[in-house]
Amino acid sequence: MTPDQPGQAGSGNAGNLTTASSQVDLDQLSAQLTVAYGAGNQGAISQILAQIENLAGAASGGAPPATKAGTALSEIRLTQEGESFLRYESGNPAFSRVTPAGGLQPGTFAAPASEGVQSQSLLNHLYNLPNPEIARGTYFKVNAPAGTPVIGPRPVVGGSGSEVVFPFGVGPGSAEPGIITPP
Amino acid sequence: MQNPELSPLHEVNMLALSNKWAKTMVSQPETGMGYQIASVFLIDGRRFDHVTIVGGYITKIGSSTDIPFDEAEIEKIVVDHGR
Repeated sequence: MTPDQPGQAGSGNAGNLTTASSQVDLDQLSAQLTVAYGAGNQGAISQILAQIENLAGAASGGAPPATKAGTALSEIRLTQEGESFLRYESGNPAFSRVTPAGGLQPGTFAAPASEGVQSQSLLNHLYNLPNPEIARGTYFKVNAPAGTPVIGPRPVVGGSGSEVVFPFGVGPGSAEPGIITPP
Repeated sequence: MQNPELSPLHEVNMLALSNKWAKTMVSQPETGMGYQIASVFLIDGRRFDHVTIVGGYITKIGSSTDIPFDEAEIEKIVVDHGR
């Protein structure tokens, strides 16, 4: 998997969708989704996402996917045309989740752009960030192509903002150059 | 490794990971925007859970800011979101 091609999700947030017993199925579906997503096959993408949601339902004993962040299952969907997001980061580029080609790594969080660019002083309150003393000095506007798998927006646990996560990442050319976050 | 965004006071209680760990960290999913909660396995067999990593810095173990190991002692870092 190359960094700029959305691929198989890791065991983390995508793991919200699974139990340990369903991990193999999710892995297989994720691999299929990677191929379908790379080929731009919307029909196959929808079909695979439906299977993932069914898997999530089975893992929860048939309960509907939750809409709240945290410990419960989450609903995966496809982004719509024109949806954009904001990604705040601290300044060490080596650990950036924005790839050199302007994609996002699988399992990356962002905020809906509809919340507007926030100042550093408000970020912790909104997004419940650990170590607020570490400045999130750069933000990126991410224009996810329509059809990108995403979970959310959902409320941030412990914060007043909303967040999304891209379980399979976002393709290259989606993130605009970084901009200094207002203090 | 100096980070100009951090004051020297904050630098004291954080363990800066060198860039050799960057691929390991960015290839694993986030726990929330800009951070990961992981288990850190040391070469000597010790294991630390609920380790917070922000932008290449190990900042906390649980709620403690005491990081009782060095980077050279780390064998692997596995993001598990504290589960």
